[in-house]
Amino acid sequence: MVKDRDDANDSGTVRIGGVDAGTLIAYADGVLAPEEARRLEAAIGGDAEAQEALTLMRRSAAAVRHAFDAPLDQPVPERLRSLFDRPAAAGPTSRRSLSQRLLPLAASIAALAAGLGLGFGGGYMAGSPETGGQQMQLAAGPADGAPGAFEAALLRALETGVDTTRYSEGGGVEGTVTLLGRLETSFGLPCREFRHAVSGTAGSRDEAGLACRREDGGWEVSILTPPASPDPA
Amino acid sequence: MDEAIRQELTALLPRLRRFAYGLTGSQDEGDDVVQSACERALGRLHQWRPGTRLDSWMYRIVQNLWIDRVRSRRSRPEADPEVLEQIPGGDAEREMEARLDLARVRRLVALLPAEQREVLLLVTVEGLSYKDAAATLEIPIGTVMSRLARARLGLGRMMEGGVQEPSDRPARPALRVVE
Repeated sequence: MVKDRDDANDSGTVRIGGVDAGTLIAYADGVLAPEEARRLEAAIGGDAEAQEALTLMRRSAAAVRHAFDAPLDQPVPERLRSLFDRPAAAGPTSRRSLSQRLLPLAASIAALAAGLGLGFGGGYMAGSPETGGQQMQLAAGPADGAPGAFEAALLRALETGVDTTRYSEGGGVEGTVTLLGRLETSFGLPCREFRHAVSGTAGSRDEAGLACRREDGGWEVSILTPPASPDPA
Repeated sequence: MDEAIRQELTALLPRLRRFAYGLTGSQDEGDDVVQSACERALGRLHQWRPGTRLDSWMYRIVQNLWIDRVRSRRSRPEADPEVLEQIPGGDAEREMEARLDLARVRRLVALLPAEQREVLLLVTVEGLSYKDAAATLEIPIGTVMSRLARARLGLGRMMEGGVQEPSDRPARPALRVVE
C-alpha cells in the first residue's frame, strides 16, 4: 500500500522484509558496491517480501523510464527556444528586473549627471552599449589579470564603506572613488552608487556607476561613461 | 549572457521539459513551468556557480516553481490529454496498448506524493545519481534512497493492481513543507 505521507520513515530507515529499503533500491538500480550487493543477496535469499519488492522496483523503473519521453521527440516550442536565441534575448530580462527596482537610481544618476554637467542623452540603462556604459566584474579573490588601481580602489571602497577613496596610478593619473546611495536588487543583494573621477595628462573623466553584490561575494559593476567630450588636453 | 551557457541551457530544454511533464502530468503545464524557470534562470545567472552542474541548478528551479504552483493551487494534475486522443491506425491495437500503458503509468506517477515523484523523476527518468539528486533537491542522500524506494515500490504495486487506481478525482493528498 502506498502511503501518501509517512515522513517519520523518510530518513532512510524504511525496512522491507528484513532489509533496508534504501539498500534494496540501490541493489535494484545496480549501484550497490559488489561486496554490499553480495551481502544483500545473501540476506534476501529466503526473504519473500524483499524479493517481491525487488521485482516491483525493477518493473516500475522499466515502466516509467520512457513514460515522459514525448518532449524528447518533439521540437522545442518556439516560446522556449526563443528565450535563448540571441544574447539580446537575455539582456532585457535581467535588465528589466534590475531597472524596475532601480528607478530611483536612474533618477539620482540623472541628477548626479546634471550636477556634474554631464549629458547622458536619452534613456538610462546601466551597461548598455547605447549609452556607452560598460560592465565589469570585481572579485575579491585572485582575478585573471591584475586589477587596475581603480578596480582595487573601488573594491576597497565597497568592502570598507569608506566614503571617499583616492588612488594613483603610474603616469600621474589620480582618481577618486566616492560612494553614494545605497540600493538593493530585487534579490535583496546590496548595491552602491558611486562616482569615479580620474584625471591625468590625457585629460579628465567623471563617471557614475553602480556596484551590486553578487551571490558569490564579488561585485557586478556597471559604469555609465558620459559621451566623449571634446578633449581639452 | 555567455554564449557557452546559452548553448548549454538550450541543450537542456528537452530534458527540462521531460522533467516538468513528469511533475505536472501535462506537457502544456510543464512547458509553462519550464518557461518560468528559464526566465528566472536568466535573471539569476549570477547565482549559478561556475563549476557546479547547470542541469542540477535548472532542475532545482523547475522543481521549486512546480512546488510553488502546487501549493498555490492545491490542484491535482490535469487528466493526461493523450488518453483521450485519437490513436492512429497501423498496427493499431498493439500500439494503442503500449500507449495506454504509458498513459496509465503517467497517471499512476501523478498519484505519488510530490516528494516521491520528484525523486523518481530525477533518478529513474532523468538518470541523475542518488548523490546528484540529493544535491539538486537539497536533501540527504538517505532521504533520496528511501523516497525512491517507496516511489518505485508504490508505483510497482499500483501497476500490479494492488492499489485501485481511482476512477474519478479524489481529494489530493495535502502537501506540506518537509524541509
